[in-house]
Amino acid sequence: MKTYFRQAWSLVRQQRLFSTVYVIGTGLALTATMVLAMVFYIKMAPVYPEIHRDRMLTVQYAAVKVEGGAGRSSIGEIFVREYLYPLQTAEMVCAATNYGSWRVRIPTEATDDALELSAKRTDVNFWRVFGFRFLSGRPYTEEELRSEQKVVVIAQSAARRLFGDEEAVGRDVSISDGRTAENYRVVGVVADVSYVTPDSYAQIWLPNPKLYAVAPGTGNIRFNDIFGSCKVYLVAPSVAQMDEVIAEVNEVMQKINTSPPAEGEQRFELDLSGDLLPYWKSELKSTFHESNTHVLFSSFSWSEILKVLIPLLMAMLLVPALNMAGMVSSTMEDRLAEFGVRKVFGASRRRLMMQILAENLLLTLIGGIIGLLLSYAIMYFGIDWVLTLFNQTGVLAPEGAVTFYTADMLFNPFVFIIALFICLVLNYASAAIPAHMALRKDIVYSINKKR
Amino acid sequence: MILHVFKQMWNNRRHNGWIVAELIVVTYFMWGVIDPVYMMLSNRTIPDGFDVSKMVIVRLYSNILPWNKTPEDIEREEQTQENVANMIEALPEVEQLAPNIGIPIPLFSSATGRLQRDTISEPLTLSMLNFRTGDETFEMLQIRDARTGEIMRSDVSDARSIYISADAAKIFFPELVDCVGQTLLRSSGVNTFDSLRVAGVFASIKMEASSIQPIPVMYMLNAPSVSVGFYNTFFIRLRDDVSAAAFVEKFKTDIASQLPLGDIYRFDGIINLEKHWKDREVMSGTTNKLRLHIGMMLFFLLCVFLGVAGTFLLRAKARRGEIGLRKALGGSRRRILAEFLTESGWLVTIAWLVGILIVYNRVHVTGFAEAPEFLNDTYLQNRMAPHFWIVSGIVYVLTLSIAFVGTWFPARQAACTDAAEALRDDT
Repeated sequence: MKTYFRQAWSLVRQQRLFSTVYVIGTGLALTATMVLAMVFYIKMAPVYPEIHRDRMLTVQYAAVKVEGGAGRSSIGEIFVREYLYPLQTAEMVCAATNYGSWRVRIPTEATDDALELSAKRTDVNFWRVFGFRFLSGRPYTEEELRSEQKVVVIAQSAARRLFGDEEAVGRDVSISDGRTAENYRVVGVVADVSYVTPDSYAQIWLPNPKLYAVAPGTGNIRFNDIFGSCKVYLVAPSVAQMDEVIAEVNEVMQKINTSPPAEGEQRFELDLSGDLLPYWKSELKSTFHESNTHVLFSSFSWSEILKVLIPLLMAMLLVPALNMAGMVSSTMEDRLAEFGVRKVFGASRRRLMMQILAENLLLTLIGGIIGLLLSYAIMYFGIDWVLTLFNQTGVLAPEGAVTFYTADMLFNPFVFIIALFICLVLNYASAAIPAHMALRKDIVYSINKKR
Repeated sequence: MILHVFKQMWNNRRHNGWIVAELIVVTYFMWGVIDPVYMMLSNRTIPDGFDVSKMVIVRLYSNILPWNKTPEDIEREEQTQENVANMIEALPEVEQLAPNIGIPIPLFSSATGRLQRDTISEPLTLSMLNFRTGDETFEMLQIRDARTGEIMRSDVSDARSIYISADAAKIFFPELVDCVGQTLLRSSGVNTFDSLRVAGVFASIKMEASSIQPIPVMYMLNAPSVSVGFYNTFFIRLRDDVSAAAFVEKFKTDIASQLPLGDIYRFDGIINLEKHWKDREVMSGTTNKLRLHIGMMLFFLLCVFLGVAGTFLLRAKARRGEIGLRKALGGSRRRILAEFLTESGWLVTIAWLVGILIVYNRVHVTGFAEAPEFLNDTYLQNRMAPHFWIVSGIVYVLTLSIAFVGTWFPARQAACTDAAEALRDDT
């Protein structure tokens, strides 16, 4: 192998132009596929602070059918606290609601100096489900939730903008939702969260007192209690037990649907199944499924996903592979005599094929490194749009949303393994067939070809 | 020269096979990438049908639940609305104000209604918007009469009158030039219909985003009741010299807290409609799709450039001896250059022909990308043959151009070969 690489390196130096074109072609293919891989890694893999994504289920919408109609909306707080918190199979359940931008200032300062910060209302479990790093203070407690105390956790950058270098924990802030302003006490400061993890993203987090747990529901839930503004996250004890959580939620729905309706209400049928999915599946669905306002729920469909993903991957890999195969085929012609002579001295076809693949691998690896660096550049400079590039519907980031990557999002074994795998695939695809066709020629033809 | 080029192409058929295969695959994928881009950019050239530049909406949220309102509450509400309207109208930035409680603008409506021409024809689902008599909805939104081009006037007071869009008129009354005064039916129960008179036809309007074609729309007359929901809205058209974004900021920080809302309403926000309409482009996914498809197109073109450049570089090198001999016998640089470019052009053309044949078969089954919900053949992009040939033409021109660019450098290098040097190297 060492000899092959040495020979390959001298060939690279001899055929600079061909090598340059080959390396650029490989780099292009790798850039495109690595951007795709990194985008989906960031969207689906466990990254800070959404560290439980691998065993997390999410549900955002509930559909309800009644006689004469149907509708869907986000999950209500009453439904969460009476039917989802008591689930036995889930290790943790939390609910959160985005509230857009609220105006936050130090109470003694002028209204004009208020900052517009993204706000989220959550329960206490939110801080267990998502692995935030507290720089000072602590999350709010269930007692503070029950007693409806006005407490808030803020992000590090927000704390710095409000209080400078002073300690923020224990200080008061005035928070206005545009209608009313109230004073809140800061109980914790967390490391900044990037908008690339939108489920946990906010700049201020406030408790939602409607979410503290009470006794399990009896099945007489009212129609209006099902709907609200929450998105719910259920974490299973392990990946293998996620199906058990889904089964238990289905049992809860079954119980609600077969129980007599509450007084004064008509019978309805509740359905969460269309939206209750493992995190990674819900991300794939929200990326690739076309929005369809004519159906309550579109089921997760691999065909919808693959009909976009497969042509995309084929285009990114097949076109450059054909490109490079053509060039490799041309160089094979020049080296026919060399192969002929080596065959005379006993080299097998397999050995010659391995040599060609090894020589090509060097160029592919150089192209792969360049492609990987280019893909990092695209991810870095395109941070505002690249993560939603493959979405069928658009996503509007809130004004002033903070976006950045953490090291584990871009530099992780998965990324490097995928990069290496693509290099090997490209190498084989571009060199194997031309090499095979060239090595099929008999010795006499090969040696006489030069003449 | 052509015969000579074809002979060269045939002699190098093994190598040409790879480049032709690549060009066929590129043609196929480029077509799939350019088709939606063509559709979306063509759709943008269709007028929106309304104008929300310099328009903002102020929303008030009622503190009284609609089903709890007493006649006294309604009277107080009306007085509060009048006070708020007077205050806003007095602002120097405001040119026109229209209080409204319906949902008259395309950006916010998700309501639909089903109409049919007669009791036996298939009903058509139209997007539904509302107006009130005399509230200048059409004037505020600059919605025009499809026949005269003048701004529509919403001056009917009969609840059985409706306005429909030009594409709806074309679907219901294809044989009529003017369908004003005609009747449409709206189902009000099993085998019972309300008869609605077409009071006017307005130019088609877009409901989703600027890159999505107009769909059939109807405007229904709202009941004249003031209090029918949680919100009350004020539509404001600003003066031409006023920035909508600046006005929105000023309103939020300085004016909102001064509104005479009493205990009836609270301020729920102010929306810059022009920005909102632009944001719809993002929300509809069009911006994403354009970025992705244009990015893929550039990717393919770069691949073609590299492939063609690489192939012809090697070919020029291999044919050095031949070119040296031809130059020694009087062959011109121009002719050699033309030969390379012609060969490149023919490779692209052959691949394009094969590629579009494959594409045609696919499009015949799946249809075009971004196909609209209602096919209005007024628009060129909705007609099969012109659409197919325009996109195929764009693919051809782009691929050919980039192939020529990729061939130029090696061809020029070959053409500038010194005859003596080439012949010496070859021996």
